[in-house]
Amino acid sequence: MRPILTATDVTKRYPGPRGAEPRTVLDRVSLTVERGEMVVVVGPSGSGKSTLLQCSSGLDTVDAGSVHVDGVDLAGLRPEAAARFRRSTIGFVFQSYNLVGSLTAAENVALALRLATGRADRRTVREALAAVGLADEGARRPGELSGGQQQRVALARTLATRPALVFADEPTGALDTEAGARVLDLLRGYASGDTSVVMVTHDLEAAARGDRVVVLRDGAVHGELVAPTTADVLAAVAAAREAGR
Amino acid sequence: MIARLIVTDLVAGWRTWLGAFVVLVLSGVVALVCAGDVSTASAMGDTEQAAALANHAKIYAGMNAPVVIGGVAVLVGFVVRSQRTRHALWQFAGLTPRLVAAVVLGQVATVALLTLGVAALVVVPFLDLLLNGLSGPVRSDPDVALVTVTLAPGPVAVAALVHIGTAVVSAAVAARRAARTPALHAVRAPADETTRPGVARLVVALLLGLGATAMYAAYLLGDQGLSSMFAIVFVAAAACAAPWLVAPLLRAWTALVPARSRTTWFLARRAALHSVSRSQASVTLVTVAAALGAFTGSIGLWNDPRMFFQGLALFGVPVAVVLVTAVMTVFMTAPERRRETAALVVAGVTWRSAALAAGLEGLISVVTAGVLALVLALPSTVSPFVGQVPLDAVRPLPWVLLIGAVLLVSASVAPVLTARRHTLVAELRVPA
Repeated sequence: MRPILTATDVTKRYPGPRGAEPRTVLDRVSLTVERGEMVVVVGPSGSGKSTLLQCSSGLDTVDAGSVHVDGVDLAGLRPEAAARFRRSTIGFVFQSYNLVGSLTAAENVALALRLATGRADRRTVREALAAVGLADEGARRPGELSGGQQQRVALARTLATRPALVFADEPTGALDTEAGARVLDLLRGYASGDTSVVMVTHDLEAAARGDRVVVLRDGAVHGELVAPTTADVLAAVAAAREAGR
Repeated sequence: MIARLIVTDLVAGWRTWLGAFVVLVLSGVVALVCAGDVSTASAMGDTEQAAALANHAKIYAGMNAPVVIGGVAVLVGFVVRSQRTRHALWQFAGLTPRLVAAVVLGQVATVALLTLGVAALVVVPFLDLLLNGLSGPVRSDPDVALVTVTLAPGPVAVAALVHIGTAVVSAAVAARRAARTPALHAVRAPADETTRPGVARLVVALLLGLGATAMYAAYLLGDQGLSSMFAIVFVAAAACAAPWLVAPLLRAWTALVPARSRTTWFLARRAALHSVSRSQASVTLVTVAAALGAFTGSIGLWNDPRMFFQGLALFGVPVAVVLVTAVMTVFMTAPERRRETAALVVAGVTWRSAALAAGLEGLISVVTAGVLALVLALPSTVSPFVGQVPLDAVRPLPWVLLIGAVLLVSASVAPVLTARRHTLVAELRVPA
């Protein structure tokens, strides 16, 4: 079976200050994610973790290289087609939640369901919220929920549509330990069978929950660990930091 | 240091101030037109013509001042609300609440001064058009010489003081609110827009409503004096009562559309209801514009083609001020709309649907305004005087609403089209 994500030689540059050379944030990075796999990307601040996730998910464009999700070249999609493809195949969980503020928690989930499957009955929405422990909070708007609750609504919204690939950018970054653990459990449980997760995190304990950990440094892959322990991840990141000095 | 803060903050947030800038330019034109009337009148030998010009200044100021004050108050209120986080940071930096208010008022005064300069560039040709061009078709004696427009330093100085004073007074409530913003709350909830209307506003709305009803009763009994201005007082009452009228009306009529309708309608309705402060501002302003249009119809301004240009000269600026203010309230929320659009697209909404939802949100505001304006125009369709056609008051409504719809829908859709040109990552981070 073909991988769900194949990013090949991805290069991303951002414009520098006036007159300066563009800054290369990703330099020919390649990443492959198999179906049912949870891949975690770690690295020091500024190593290009979030940019890799954004480019791999089509949220941002690449300057060179290619990204294929489920065999589809993201660069070849026009904006409308990209939106349709995302809704059916890709899910996102952000550190800043990005829920639709004018909709209640239940409506946020229902909207994604309706767009992805054409229907959103109350039972399915309630089950999706119950799965993240928020069955009774469906009528509340994002602004009325805590950070941990908003993140779980975002997760319910994403997982309810059963996308083949979920991208999570620092999903526990703004949460307390308990809420963070709950979110991680849900993501870990989702990566099985045909569904996969790519997660970017600073939290090395969270990283150790992945099937595979990719370590980035200065916009390039510095190493890769399979089924690592927290100590393995800690050592790999420390080595990456050391190499960068 | 405070002067530096006023200027640098204005420069950094110029997009936020653009709406207030545009309306203040129109306000400056109004003030300078009055100054031009007075200057030109003093330079004239003909006392009858001079008196007519002085009268023109009074009518022009009387028609425009309430609208300009309202427009500036609405837009500066928007600016202040959208800069809550910035004001909180000032407080963290050590500015006292009184100083925060002073800086906001300083910014308003600076913008008012700049806009006066822009207005000064256009006022002479505009006044020439008003006094010579547009009055041509109704001039009783075609042999009367054309008026030479002059601007004397004295009246201009008074106009400048009135213009800047009006802007500062209109901004006083918003500046006081900026000073009272709890810093920590503003940082935690930068988008919090909910402000409860005060009891004083309710009392004023009720008094205006009662006054308008009394004037209407006197009008129906045959009084042709001040009572015939009842429609304007009804409009003022409705504008004051907007916080209690707009949201329930919007909720009620949009609920009539079947619940199982398209996703775009669902999104548009929820956005309009959720962002009540921006919907309320645009609905109220389009209502006022349409009701002003209805008033011009009720006094028969559009029945005589020769009167058309004079009507346009007298009522064109207030209607333009109101419509521009309505568009600016939408334009100024563009960053918020761009973030919302990106969040919708990430959730699976296509760009086309997002644009359609934004357009529908604009239309929802216009239809709500249309319903209110129609209700406000209805009393004017009953006239005790011979020769007035009952439907005159309603005839201008579709035109004003059509212009309002084109402007509001364009302003609502533009941020979606802008967002589409950028990456989603960039749009999710668009600063306020």
